[in-house]
Amino acid sequence: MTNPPADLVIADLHKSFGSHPVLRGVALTVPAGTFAAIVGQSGSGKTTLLRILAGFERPDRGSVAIGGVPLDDGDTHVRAEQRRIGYVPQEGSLFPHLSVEANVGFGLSRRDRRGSRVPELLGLVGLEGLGHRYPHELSGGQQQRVALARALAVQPRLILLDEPFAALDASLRASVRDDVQTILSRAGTTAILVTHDQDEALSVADLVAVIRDGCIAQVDAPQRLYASPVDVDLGGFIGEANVMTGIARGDRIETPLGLLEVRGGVDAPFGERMTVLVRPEQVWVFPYEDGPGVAGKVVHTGFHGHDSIIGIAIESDALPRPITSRVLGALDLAPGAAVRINIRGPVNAWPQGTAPIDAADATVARAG
Amino acid sequence: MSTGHGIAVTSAGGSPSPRRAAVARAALVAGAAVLMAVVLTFLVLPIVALLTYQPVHDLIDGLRAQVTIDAIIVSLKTNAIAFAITVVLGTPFAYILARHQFRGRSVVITLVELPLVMPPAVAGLALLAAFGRLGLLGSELQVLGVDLAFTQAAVVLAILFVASPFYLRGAIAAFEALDGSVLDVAGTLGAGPVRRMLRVGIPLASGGLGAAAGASFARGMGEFGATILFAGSFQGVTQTLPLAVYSLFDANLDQAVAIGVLLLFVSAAILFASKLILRSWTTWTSPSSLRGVRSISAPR
Repeated sequence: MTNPPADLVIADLHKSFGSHPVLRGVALTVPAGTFAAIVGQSGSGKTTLLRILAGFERPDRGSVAIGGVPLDDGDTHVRAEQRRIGYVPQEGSLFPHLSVEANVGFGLSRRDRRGSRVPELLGLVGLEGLGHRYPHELSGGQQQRVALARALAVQPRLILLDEPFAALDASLRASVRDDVQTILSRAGTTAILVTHDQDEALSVADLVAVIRDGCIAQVDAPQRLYASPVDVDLGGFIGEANVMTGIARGDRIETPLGLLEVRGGVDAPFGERMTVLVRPEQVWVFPYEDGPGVAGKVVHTGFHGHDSIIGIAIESDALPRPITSRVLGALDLAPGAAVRINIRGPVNAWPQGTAPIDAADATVARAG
Repeated sequence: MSTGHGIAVTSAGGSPSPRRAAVARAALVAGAAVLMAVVLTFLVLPIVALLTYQPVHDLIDGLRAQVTIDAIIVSLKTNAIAFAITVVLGTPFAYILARHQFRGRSVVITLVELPLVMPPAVAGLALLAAFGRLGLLGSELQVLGVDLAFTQAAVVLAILFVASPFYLRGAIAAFEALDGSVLDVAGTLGAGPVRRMLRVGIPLASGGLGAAAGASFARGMGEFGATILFAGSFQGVTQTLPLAVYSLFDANLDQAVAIGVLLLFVSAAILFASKLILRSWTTWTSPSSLRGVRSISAPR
């Protein structure tokens, strides 16, 4: 039921609305069969990119091609109805006047609609026997699965998922997400998930592209993206981060939290100022008496069941904000308690160069 | 809510005023009842008077008169033709206008709405000036052997001009209200513009389209001013039911009232049908149905 695999290649894509540039040279290659995620904040251009891929909008410049066949370039613009690119929008957008069967069969020829294809697809998404229901008789998760089956029915070369889980209840979201992931990998279809939720992107996709100000800032496997962000802003966007200034000291970096090991080595001459990113799970907390380690004082704690978040104030001019630590389970520490902290594992550091990076901003990026 | 609040305040003040609050409430209810009675009486009284103007057998005699039967035939025929033209041409017109952005779009919409606010007599004059023998297109039409003024075709044109904007305006609003992503999805499933309109756009807008069609048909059945100026009032040719009411007004008031009662029932039937369509339609419009599902699934 799948097509010969075909890579999606996006090159130098530009799009402006009026005088407002939304996409400014997007380049991205998604290998066939990959489940990719495009993640970005609202206003980053991710929705415009998706609408161009689907064929709803025409780019001002640049190209989109699948398997070497151009869909958009200077001369070509293949219309949405001829692209064979599936689209699952935020709320599923099922045809409310058609039964589940008719929804799934909408893109099929009259003969295929009566054949075994529709029941097959309903089986694939785990909705056997619900073909005669109407969309308003289904739960939100079921509606999303029908939308997926409907998109898969036409054997698309690519499926676009536009924040498909955002409208679901939190309790339902994780299970529907897993289902969708399973269904897509079983169908072997290349897929692009567009989302503003970086946790979602990291947990679902094989490949995550971060879009920022109309450009792709980084494309990587989720683990690599989290471990080695290209800059501190991206690191703060993709996960919670403690950001501070350090000074290069040969193969290590001197920070208010001690002399730390840097992932990939220190990329700056001795004595240069660098921006340092420390993940909360790298910050290990001990009772004060169990030292050694940097001394600090607990300022707030938050218990989240599976883990706890602890804010620790360190006496240092270079650390205006408390350091955040994430520990497994509960920790018996009240605000005011004296503690020591150790940093485990290598941290990330970037030379500050000429443009000073606003460390506070990067920290805030994940605070909300 | 406001009364509950008022009671809470008075009892908090410790004054012996639950009685005063009850009196105030009763006065409010009485005032509301009087207001409703006045408004309803004013609106309903003329209708009741029309219905009870003459005994039923006189009413039936009036309806069986040749002049009435001729007018019924003229009205039904011209309105059916005008209605068919309105729906067949107006639906795609409204769809294109509603779902596409282009330069001059708002000007087009304003032009469509102009006949709505134009006095019908002016519409009749305008039609004469355009299609009459001495009108703008009069000589061209004469060359083709077409003489529109004071023919049944003129009645159809008058109804079209006056009534079709009611459909167009409602249809544009109904198509504008569609969830664009549903149409987008249909596109990605291989449906071209025509199929998107026929299989998704029109079915989803059908409630609004039905209501607009009802308003347009009702306006067409009642059309008077433009018709009498442009088409005249010749029994069996251009004399529609409203024109018959007018021409019988001096000669035979009983017959005029009988036709009036008939038109009243037609209007009521259209109103009722429109409401029925709108109600059955709102049960499966896309956003509300999804919202409904989520609120149902939440407590589980």
